[in-house]
Amino acid sequence: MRFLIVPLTGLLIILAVAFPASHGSADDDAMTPADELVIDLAPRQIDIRAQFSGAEMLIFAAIDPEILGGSASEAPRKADVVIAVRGPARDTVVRRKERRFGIWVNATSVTFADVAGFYALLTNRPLSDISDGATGIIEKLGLSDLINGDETGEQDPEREAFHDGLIREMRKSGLHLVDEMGVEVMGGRLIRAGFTVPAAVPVGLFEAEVLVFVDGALAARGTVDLDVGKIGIERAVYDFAQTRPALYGIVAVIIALLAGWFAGSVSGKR
Amino acid sequence: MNIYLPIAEISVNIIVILAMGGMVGFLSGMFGVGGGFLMTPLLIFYGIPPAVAVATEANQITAASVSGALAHWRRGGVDFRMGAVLIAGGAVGSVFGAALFTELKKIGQVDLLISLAYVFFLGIIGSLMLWESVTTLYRRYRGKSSRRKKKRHGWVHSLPLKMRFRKSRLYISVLAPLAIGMLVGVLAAIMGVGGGFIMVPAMIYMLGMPTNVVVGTSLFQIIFVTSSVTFLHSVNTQTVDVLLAIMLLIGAVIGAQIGVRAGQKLQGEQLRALLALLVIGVCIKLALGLIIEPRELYSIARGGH
Repeated sequence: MRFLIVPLTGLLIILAVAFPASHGSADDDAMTPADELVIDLAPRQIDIRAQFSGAEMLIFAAIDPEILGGSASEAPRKADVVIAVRGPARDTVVRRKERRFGIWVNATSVTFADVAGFYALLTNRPLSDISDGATGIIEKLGLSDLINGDETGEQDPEREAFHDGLIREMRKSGLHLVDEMGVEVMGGRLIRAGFTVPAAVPVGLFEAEVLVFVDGALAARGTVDLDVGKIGIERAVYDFAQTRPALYGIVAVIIALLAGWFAGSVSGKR
Repeated sequence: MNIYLPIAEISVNIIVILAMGGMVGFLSGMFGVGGGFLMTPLLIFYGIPPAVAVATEANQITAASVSGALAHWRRGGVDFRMGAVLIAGGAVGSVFGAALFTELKKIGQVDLLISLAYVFFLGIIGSLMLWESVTTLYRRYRGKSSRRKKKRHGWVHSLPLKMRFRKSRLYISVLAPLAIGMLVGVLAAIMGVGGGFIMVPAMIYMLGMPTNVVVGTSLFQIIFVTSSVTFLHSVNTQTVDVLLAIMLLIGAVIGAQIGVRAGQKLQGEQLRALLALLVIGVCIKLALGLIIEPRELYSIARGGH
């Protein structure tokens, strides 16, 4: 696969530069910037096959030079980029072990609704350096956290602890990552970002949101979907087990009976 | 070389899985034990979710006990009537065990159940095995022949509903084998073991079955009970990973062949003591996992919407 990446990347760069995003009119609303970004992913989808042990993802997007301003006399302004990638949301139970009768057992639990199964926040420089406005916009878009919906209500310290535990666990398995040098803005115009998807990734539809800030204000944004799915035998086995569990059980038993009978008759003949 | 397991949803090293299957198969070939009580903890240590480890191991034991039972059946070492009674009890036990497993999985306590069951049973079996092999070695050192005590099984004979088991040359109540079968069914469902380590001593000492039909009959029962467990876990929790079971099986078949040969050549009693130490070691590792404060107190479980 690696030999495909280089020409593919080259092609993407050519495409990105040759066909910049369409121009639009300026908008006062900071949340709806004029420019819609053209974004592409490599690979376009993640296939979980038998050999799957994680994937290296690349995101490309082109910045319209128009939004950077600049002319013969003044240098173009610099763009800052924030990319948030989120996996499919599921209700997630976080359990905490406590010592009961001398042993550590799961005692208390908190259920978080709609937790992204994967979360990556990539920026070209520390988010705090970009601007306070950028941080605010990211929070407003619900991209600052892996949990959907506003958790801005009362901040229960107990709940906070469980939330931290959730993020630690996900970070440990590579499902939560923050990379403040994960984005490169090449020649001030081509956005290139990379991140690793671990083998333990949940299947489903991912969404990558790319935000471009100029002088701390949102100047362009765009989203792209990424489908992560099991294919081939992985998919067949998983779907079979989920959709026809009784039949799956019977087949599993028959396989074991036949395998045992085969092994027994082979060893018996010796 | 890695392979992604479709049900366990993790990527594992094929060589490691084959080696684990081979190692446990080697031990089972050498000592005639099922090996489930070692395989399931090994899978858990490797990182397979405990629920998947238990359900998948039950599936693998089905295959292992078919080939074992075949060999004993050829020698006439299976009491089918006794087997049928044990299976009836095992069927009830496995349904009960699987239901308990499913309920505890829902409330996040199934890992605790598995660990506790293992610590308890491995502790007992490991200590008994170690005691027996050490005393045997000691007696041999002293030059005495080991004496076998004839166990009494009086109370079993006073139970009602007696039945004749021709092959075992027994006329006893069906309640005792039913109860033994049931216990084994529960253990198979929550521990992913065949349960031979409980059943074989119980058949010899409680029922008074002749030793030449004990192992074959217990393997015959294990086929059906682990089949039932595989089916129930597939339906209730979708935790049977066929791909993992097949890989373990391949390793185990090869390992068992080598183990049988090695067992014929090597000195048994020292190896039995080593096996006992291994069992105790696994027990202690699981027990420490419960007693020592874990580095991470929080764990997560993803559900539906």
